[in-house]
Amino acid sequence: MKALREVCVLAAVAALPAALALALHPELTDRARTGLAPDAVRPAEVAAWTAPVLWVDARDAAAFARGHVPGAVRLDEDNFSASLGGVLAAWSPDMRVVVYCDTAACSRSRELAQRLREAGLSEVHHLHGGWEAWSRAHATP
Amino acid sequence: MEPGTRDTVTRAAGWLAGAVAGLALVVAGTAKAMHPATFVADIWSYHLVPESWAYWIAVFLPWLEIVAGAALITHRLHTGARLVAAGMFIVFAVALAISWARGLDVACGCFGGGPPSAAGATNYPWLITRDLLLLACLAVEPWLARRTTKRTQTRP
Repeated sequence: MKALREVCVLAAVAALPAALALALHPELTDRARTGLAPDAVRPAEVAAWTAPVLWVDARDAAAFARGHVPGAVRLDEDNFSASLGGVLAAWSPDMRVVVYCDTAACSRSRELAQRLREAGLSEVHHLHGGWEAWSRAHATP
Repeated sequence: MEPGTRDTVTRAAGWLAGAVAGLALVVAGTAKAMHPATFVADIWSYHLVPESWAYWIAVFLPWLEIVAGAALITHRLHTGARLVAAGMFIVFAVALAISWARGLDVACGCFGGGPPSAAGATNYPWLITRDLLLLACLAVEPWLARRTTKRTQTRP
């Protein structure tokens, strides 16, 4: 009983600076509420980056031909090793990599982002909402 | 050694062992509290909790570590602090063991580390051993206290 009481006191004491930390990092609360993965980024967040960005398109060839982010390199999930060369040729260590597929429901960009990390690339993210979100953010009125 | 002196040395040894674990928690908690976004990514790399949970854990856990660690060092609320610390070390060791079994390359996040320095670089044996050693530190004081009680009871 004494131990449990002490645990509750410790938890309550820890909750105070934790609440302050949450107030100082509102972006964490926002991402927690929306369930956004830590490596997911939104188009507006990418637009605010100062570092150069390498866009990696995880969609099929037909979708890529219809339209893609300017300068994007296509990465074929079924032919990963062969198409990785194209990504590496366009990549440099100072770049942030953003992988996208069709929509928020598509998990391919997340999986390919993980494979790129395993291949040794750092700062690899996937675009929340995919090509659909990017198109909406860049739609001309 | 006089019984009284021996009891003092035993108590000091028990406190010191707990303080070592407490200091580790304070240092680790402080490193994580300074970079919550990095710690979120570390928690997420284990793929053990839903994404939204990772954020709440990343914000609360470091402060619980700091508070429990400080309680161990100052010997205040030390029973509760030992329970909290033991729970943490067990959870950390189990999480590492599960990730090891799954063949994942995780960022330990133990001291706010960030990603491993190279693919396959997570040193699971060392990380798990470290957690178990710190857990053992927590057991020293109760064990010594029990020995002292037995000795006192058998003393003529």
